[in-house]
Amino acid sequence: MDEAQMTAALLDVLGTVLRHAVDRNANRASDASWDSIAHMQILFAVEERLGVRFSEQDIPGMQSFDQLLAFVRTHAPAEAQP
Amino acid sequence: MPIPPTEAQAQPRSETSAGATGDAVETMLARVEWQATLFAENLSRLGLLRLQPAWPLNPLTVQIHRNHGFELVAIASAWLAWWKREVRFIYSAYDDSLSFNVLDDSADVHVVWVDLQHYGAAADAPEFADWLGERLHFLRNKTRQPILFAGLGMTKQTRTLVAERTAGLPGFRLADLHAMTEVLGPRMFDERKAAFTGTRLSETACLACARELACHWLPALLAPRIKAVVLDADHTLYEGVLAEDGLKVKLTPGHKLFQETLVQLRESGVFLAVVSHNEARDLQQLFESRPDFPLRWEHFSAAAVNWEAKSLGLRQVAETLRIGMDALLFVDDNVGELAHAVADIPSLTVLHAQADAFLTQRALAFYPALWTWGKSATDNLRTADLAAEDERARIQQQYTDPRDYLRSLHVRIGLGRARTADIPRLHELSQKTNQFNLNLSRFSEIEVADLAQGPASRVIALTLKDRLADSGMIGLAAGKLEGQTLVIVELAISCRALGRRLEDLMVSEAIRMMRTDLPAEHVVVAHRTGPRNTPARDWLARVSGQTLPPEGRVAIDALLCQSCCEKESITLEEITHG
Repeated sequence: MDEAQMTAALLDVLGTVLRHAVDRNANRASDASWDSIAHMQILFAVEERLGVRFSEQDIPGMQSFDQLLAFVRTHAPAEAQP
Repeated sequence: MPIPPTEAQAQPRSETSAGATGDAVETMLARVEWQATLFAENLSRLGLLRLQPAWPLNPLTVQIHRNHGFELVAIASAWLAWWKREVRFIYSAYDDSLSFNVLDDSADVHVVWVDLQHYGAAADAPEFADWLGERLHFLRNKTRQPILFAGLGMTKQTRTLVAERTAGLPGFRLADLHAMTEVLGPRMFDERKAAFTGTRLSETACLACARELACHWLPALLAPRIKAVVLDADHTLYEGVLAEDGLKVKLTPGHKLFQETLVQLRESGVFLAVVSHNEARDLQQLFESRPDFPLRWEHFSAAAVNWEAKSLGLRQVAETLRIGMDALLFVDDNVGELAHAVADIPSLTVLHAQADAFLTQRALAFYPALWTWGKSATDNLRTADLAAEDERARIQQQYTDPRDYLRSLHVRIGLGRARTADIPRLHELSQKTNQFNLNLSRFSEIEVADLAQGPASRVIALTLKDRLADSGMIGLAAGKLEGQTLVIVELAISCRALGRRLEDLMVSEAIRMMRTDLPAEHVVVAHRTGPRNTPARDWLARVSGQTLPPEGRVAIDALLCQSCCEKESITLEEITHG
């Protein structure tokens, strides 16, 4: 999966969970719909869609699109579906 | 092959009915598209979140009393939307003490969502079951709505003890998470995210719990059960087309499991029927020549196998089974057939049998309002009782005097004051009986219990059997004393008990039993008009000798004074409380 595919997949996950269109600037601090429940739904959905697995230590650091992308970039298996 | 329009479809429709029909078909088609996501072997949260209903929903408010996180189980809203409910969850604070100090009046149902791990080793002690039982009784006394308890980490022994402490609690059900824990094994838990989700349930378990809640637990608590599953044959019960493949149609592993699920449903009291475009003789021969089919021809309580429109066959099946069209679930692999059937019968519920029979099997197993908390004694009797109907009709033709007919059947009517154990069945009768239901009160279990146990009210349960079949508990009469008048607030008799002209005797004897406890000078029956209770209203008009207004109360002194001619032909007995 290349960078563009990862970006598209993450934006799709965020948009589906938050129920509105998002861009690469999406972050928890500025989006009221990104509450604690949505946050966990996003993490579960990213795991499902991109084949990664967050550890207990990783979870607090996933507060924005950029942080999610950085994590996925280094953890996504090569064969993950776009 | 194009499907010819049925006679009903060929009729011109008014704009309104055409619109309503079109909406019903559109809704059906949209719901069919959801099946692959809702009943997938591996559920996808992302897939579920993408589902947005485009059909009207009825509101449902669920209050969650919890000591661990439920929010990720709230994805149950997807299956509930498929069941045409728009759910709103109201959450309590996390409360290990189960104080239930904030109850929301708007809740339709209360769910007690508890992880027993929070109580440590104490949760295995009998005293814990005592405490939990006391808390659940406390909640029962504070609300009139149904209560569901789902305890995570509950041992079989604790579950048994809690079941004992809550036995007979009306409108209360104990959900079984133990079975799910056994199936999922270590996949049930995910301690990694517990600090963030508030629960140690894994994502897999949250999704499985959501589906159980929305497809099994809540519908079985809130809605009447579907009474019959009506099946197409080709590409539904097996792979292939009988008219083309002959007796060699294929029973795939998925179709075998699907048939086994149907047999289990039948054993739990659901009628099976077949409506198929085939030659009836050929289809029967297929079932008789295939010992590998778990489903046998005799498992079908009704069949309409011909080349008529399937909606006609569905109506014939409903008539044979003596049930309403809204109590049927129609399963067919052809979306066009489903659309035609729904266009003719907008209230019909349907399931699309898909090429992957395993998917269809899961959809059937999770179809809302098919699952039951446990079959009642009457569920065991229903199919045999219906099968005896043909024989009764044959015997009836042999007699001109109805007394001789009844005498030949050895009819026995049982009457008894409602016991705690009878309440679920009496609730079911109040909810599901349509044709002989005079006041359509649709009592909850709690309301039945209140009437049964109140100082100035009674509920009488009626049972019926003859030499051909035991019909089980088939009716109830509920009355309240108002001054010197006994008001019969509900009178409901299952349609399986009708047709033997026993209503006069059953009702008069039930009222006589009530009056021994509640002396009253007068007896009146409360009644109201419903869409299908004409048989009951005709009966009341006859025994009261009055023309009935749409609703009200009417005296039936004449019925109570007359000596029923049937009485000498029938055995009356008081139900013993063994």
